[in-house]
Amino acid sequence: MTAFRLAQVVEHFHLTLEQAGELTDRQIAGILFHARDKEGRLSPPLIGPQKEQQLYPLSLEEELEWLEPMKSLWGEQQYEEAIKKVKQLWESGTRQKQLEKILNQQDASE
Amino acid sequence: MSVEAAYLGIPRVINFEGQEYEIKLISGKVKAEFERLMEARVAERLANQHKRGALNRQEYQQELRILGARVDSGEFALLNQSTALTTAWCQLLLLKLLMPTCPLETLERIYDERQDEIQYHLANILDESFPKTKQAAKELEAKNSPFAQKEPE
Repeated sequence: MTAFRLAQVVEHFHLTLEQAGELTDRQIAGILFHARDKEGRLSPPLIGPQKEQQLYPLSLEEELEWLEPMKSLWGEQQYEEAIKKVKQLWESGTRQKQLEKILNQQDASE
Repeated sequence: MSVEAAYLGIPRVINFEGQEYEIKLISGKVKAEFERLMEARVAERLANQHKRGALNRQEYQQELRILGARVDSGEFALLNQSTALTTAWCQLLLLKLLMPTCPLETLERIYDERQDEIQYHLANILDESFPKTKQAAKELEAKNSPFAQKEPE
């Protein structure tokens, strides 16, 4: 901590050097120097609208994208088999029906 | 980690042979004490060398001046992810400051027998005591990475 910052802590918060010495850098940075507005009032954290987490892929392209990280985990062969199966499900319309069922259940519960 | 755990400065606890020992966070005072003890250790070594005759008076004074310069440059300062914490001796020194209620003999046994737990606590204490410790560590790692883009000389 710089002497300037220590002086600020001591002067502004009316602490003795002993009391300031008992604080951690994180406490000073996070609590004593918490963000403030122009008038010196504490600024609350900004929380924007929460993006709803998507639980199911809504198209074949999305599902293929979701599966890609599994390639290294499953190995080439198992990954290719999974891709093939997923494509079959979408082409036969089974996946669409499954999705429709899930979404209807969600709507009903809401 | 909860906000309370990070900011209220509640000490961590280690249980050893049915006894609880608190491990404080690294306050400004602990940082300063650590630096002083590191300096004292080097000064003691130099004094012993001088006593044994390995250093004459002129060399001893010269070494003390070098020591002063090292201290001024912040070599012994306890910063986040400090290189000062890479040796067992320095870790033990820090633990002595963080666990003032623990007798030295017990502390040395805890350090020997519970090495992994101690490393775990020290890493978390550094994280809880300094702002952005993890971020600083990541940046350092990225900087030292062989894949990091170097600035043209």
